[in-house]
Amino acid sequence: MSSSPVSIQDGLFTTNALASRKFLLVYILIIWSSILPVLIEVFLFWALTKENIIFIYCLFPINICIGYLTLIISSTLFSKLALFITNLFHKPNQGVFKMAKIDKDYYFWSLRATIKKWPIWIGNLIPSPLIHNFILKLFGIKTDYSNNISRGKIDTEFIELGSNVIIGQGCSIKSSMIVKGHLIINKILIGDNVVIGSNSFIAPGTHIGSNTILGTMSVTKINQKLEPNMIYSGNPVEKLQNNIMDQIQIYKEKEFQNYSNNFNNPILRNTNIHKINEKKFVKNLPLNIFTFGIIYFLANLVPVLSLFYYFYEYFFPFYIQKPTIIHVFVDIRSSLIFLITPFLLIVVLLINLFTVILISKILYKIFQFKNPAKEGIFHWNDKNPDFNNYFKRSFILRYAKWKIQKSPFPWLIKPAFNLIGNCQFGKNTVIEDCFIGKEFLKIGSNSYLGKALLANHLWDRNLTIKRIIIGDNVEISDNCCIAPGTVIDNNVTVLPLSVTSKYGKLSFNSVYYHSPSKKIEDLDSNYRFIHKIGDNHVK
Amino acid sequence: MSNSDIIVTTNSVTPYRLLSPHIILIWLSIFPTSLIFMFFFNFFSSLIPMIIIIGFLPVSIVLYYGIFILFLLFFSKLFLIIINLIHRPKEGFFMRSLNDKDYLFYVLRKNLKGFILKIYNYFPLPWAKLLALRTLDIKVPYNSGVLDSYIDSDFVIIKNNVILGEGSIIMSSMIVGDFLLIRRVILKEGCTIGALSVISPGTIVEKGAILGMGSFTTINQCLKEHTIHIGRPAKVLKETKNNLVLNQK
Repeated sequence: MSSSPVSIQDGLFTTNALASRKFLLVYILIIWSSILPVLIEVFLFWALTKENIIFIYCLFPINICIGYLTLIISSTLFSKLALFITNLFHKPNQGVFKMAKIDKDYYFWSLRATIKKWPIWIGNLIPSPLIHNFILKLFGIKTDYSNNISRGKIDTEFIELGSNVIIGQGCSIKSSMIVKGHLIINKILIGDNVVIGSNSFIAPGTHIGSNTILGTMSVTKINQKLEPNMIYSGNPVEKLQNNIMDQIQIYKEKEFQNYSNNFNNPILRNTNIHKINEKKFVKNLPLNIFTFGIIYFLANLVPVLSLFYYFYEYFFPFYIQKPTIIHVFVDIRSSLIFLITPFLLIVVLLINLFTVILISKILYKIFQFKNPAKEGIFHWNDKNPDFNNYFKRSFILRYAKWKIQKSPFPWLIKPAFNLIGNCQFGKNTVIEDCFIGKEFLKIGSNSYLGKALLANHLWDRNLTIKRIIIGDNVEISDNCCIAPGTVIDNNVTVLPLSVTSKYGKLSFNSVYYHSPSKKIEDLDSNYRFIHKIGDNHVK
Repeated sequence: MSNSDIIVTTNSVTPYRLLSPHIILIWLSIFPTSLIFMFFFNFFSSLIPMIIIIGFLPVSIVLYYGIFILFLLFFSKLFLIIINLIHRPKEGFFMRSLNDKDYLFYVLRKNLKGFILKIYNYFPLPWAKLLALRTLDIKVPYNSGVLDSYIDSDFVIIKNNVILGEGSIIMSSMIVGDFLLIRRVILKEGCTIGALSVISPGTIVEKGAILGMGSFTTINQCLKEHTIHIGRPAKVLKETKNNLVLNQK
């Protein structure tokens, strides 16, 4: 896969659920300790080049690469140390737990996720499966360097991978899942040479045999066992009659025949780019670049200048220019600078994020004042000001969203969106790395949004903008699509890969699945549903 | 074509332990960027007071990074031209081993393009990615909305006013057992692909066709003009006249 979405991160995955805000202290401590080895590396680089400008230029790329590797190894080792200490307090367990702060298993699951977040964020910056497998191996998970796992979201505990595993784009391999207010953790085993199709969901407790192929958009049940050398597809997955060799034969016969049919058609063969009917989709380009310039410049002004001052006045003379590393630790001021620098970097990053949020808020207010945001159906030929203003507003919000979701502090997305636009997120709502609409969202408290899509606008020649209303205690699983105008009542669970229709209504206290979404009928109470899962788990 | 006949999987390649070209690329592009900046810094420092230069440090940092990734794109394009001169990209059905020349060069191309596009993902202005896509032989016009989707590295043709939903996957290659299948994908003028849907190799999407959210097409499927398709795999739902207002409520 060459191109990937700009607004989310692929690769390893840990949850954003934050059971207690104290975890952030641990998180910042891990960031702080992992930057220290990099500072030593920078010092050694400077000492090696001996201020020779040609040397610095030639070795700079190598310095970046070694610094990045140092950061990966140090952050993984420090987080592993923290994991070791937390596991002494409470051992990670498999099973079905209540999603509440009081439940110890949920509490420590969230703590473990927070601890792992920093090394995983670092590793996801580069799309190399090499780095992802390396991090997994350091965390003590069985995997192989021949696995291609950097395109889907893959959990980092209770998982075991064989060799030559290929995971498609946008997959979720989840050993922990939230259903009906319960957290389910169960181990996933994936054999050798397994191919998992794109956008599919592997539920906790799935065992996949070697050489098995899963089709695109397949969903496995909890604790499902898939046989080796077979082909599965569907929602939930079912075994197909033919095996892999038959499948290849079918491709060879059918596929070529169809292909030649398509290309004998004279209309289809014409692939020249016509220049008729061209309307610029990238509208308001000068305005967009102007607003981006304002946000970027003001947000970076204070951080960059303060960093520049700090480096010029303190870091450079008192740390870098010391003759050897021993001189640094003998001098109190130098060692203090060595210890404070990582904190300063974190503070500067946070200031940058907050300024982005603040300026976006002001700009959004100005646009809102000129032409308030409206719901409705607009056509792009109408020269409707609402249509145009939608794109202007969404540009501002998009930059803020991109900036926060890609930063090491993705928890900020909730307060930021509560502040900026007309979105409302309730208390204790967890938002994972998902495609969320930027306006007209109303989400209740204690809800959980997985890697789903909440679309407040829909594009079919017309632009439909409609509010999504989601109640309390709602769980939306991975790869779900929630269309504009959907109203979801309290206590609803939407299972993976389900699609709601436009203006759909999901009724109180029920479970939905499939595309378009269907209700699970024989569901007496939510407890019976959970007990079923629990019974399976014991086996 | 029913689901039981052909299943669609994924097109990810097995990782190829090849980091050295990336380091060489970074190395090559840092030199000219630094030279240009040194030149301009020396030139302006005599004209403009130092305080203003320091005040515009944020801008100069993003400019430095921008020029750096532009050079990165330039050198990767050169690499790509050389790779394509040695072996032309071809459609077809290939063995999935590095002894097969087609597969080897497919992996090389994919590694190169993936790295550059990932770096463009992290540029503060995400729209810069369109430039990278166009330069690396993925035909995307500027008036299409394609930023939030996975697009395969070659044999994808996207025409004007095409809109791809968030998290949609356009793939022109796919793994079948020990084989690799590469087929051209064409998305014609004004078609819309729904969010989180998958387009398989060989699919032709006609003018104004719409594919619903969370659905996928099978191999060599052809979506009809001005028609809504939905389902797994996609089937015709209903026809729409050109520029008709749909489902108005």
